[in-house]
Amino acid sequence: MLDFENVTFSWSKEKAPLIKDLSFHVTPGAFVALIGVSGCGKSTIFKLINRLIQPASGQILIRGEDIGKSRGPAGYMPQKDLLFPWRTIRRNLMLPMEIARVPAKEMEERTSAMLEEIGLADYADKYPHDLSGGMRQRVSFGRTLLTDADLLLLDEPFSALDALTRINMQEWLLKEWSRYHKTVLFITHDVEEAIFMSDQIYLVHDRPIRSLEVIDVPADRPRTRDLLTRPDIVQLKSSLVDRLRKEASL
Amino acid sequence: MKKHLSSVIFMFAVLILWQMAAAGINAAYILPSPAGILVRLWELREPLFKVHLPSTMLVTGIGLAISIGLGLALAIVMDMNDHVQRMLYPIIIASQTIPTTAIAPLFVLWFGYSIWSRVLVTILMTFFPVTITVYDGFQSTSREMEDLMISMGAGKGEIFRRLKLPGALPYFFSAVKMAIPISIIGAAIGEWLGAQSGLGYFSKRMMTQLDGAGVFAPIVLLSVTAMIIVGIISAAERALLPWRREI
Repeated sequence: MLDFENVTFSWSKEKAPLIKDLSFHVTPGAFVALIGVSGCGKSTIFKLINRLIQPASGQILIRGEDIGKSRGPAGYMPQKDLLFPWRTIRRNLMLPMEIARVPAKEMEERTSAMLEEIGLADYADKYPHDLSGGMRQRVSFGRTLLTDADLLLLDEPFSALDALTRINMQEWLLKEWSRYHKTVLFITHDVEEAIFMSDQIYLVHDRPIRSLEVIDVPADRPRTRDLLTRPDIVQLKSSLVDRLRKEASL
Repeated sequence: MKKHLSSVIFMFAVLILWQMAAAGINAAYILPSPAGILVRLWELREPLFKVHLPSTMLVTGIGLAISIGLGLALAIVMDMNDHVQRMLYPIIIASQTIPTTAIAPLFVLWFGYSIWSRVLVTILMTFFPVTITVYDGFQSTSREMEDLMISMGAGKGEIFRRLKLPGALPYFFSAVKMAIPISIIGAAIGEWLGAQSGLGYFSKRMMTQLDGAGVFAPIVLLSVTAMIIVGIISAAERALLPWRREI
């Protein structure tokens, strides 16, 4: 689904590269968590895929196609919900389809279906400030789905939520993911979240980023939170936390 | 209404003190009393409301419309292009260092006593706050929202139409609310310096006649008019930007 081929990137010509000769692959339909200490360049990888910045060299491919050629190649869900305060929930959901010039009738239908899906049909004509943090993130996720992209980039989407809402949202997102068969690349710095959610964890472990360490999560789906107390998972979690702490102190 | 109560009480207290002071001085050409001003306003209602208020409002209206148009256009081109911004911004700031009252006689030389000299004074004073406020509005829209739209494949035009324009609307309303009193003041100054009608002109004429209350009457009328128009714009803002409530 997603391939980085020898991608090098630096913020300016004088500065040392942040990413150097990086290659990695994400298989279609996978749920991959990207973890690393803050400031390690996780978000830079997303910016590259979103074409907000250009690599100095190398290629980024989505379904084998260079992203330079497509318009809005991936669905991006930012850390903050970034709902437009002047748009109602319904019209916020419509935004990606307006940009993609989806015909009005189809747009209406898909928006109404999505409102049902995210459980906010009653809030269609409310404004974002009327909604709670968890509801707003659901709208933000719905909007990301409506970009129609097969690859979803989720950038710490739940980090601003309270612990309880966060757990609910994690389970909700997994349910949605299993329904839509999308490929998800999920940035988080929460190891537990990464283990609970993903098939594979890609660990950002060096500077500049030359490779990502791939760690398979040994668990089937559907998952329950009991998973997090299984001895081998507890073991995995503590070893990952140790790794990250060492990275952070470097 | 309750939240304005203290300011209403304070205003009445000031007016009562003023009335008492005016009675003490007892020289209406130096300090006319509030009651005296109201009486004068009523006596002069024919020329004030039929001739001079419409004249001032015409200048204000034309000046305000041109200022808003010009301010919007400048804000848009400055937001779209950094080179244009660097070129225009200092000039726009510099234009505000020109003392209006000093340059206005030049306008009278150019346009005579036609309304255009007064309109020009109005524009010179009004376009600046409109330009700067709306430009700030465009600049204030979130960079992250812009990135989000780019990730959806939006071009510059789309970002402007769907993000910058609606995002700057509250700023636009602030700019208009600020511009209304300024443009009325601009028109009145223009009339002071050279005109044959208008509330500013009328006030000046009353001064030459040492009619204190007559000087104040058109001023009261001007500020009440400004308050009413700003009130109307505020109501329009509340109706057009429902999402701004409770924020």
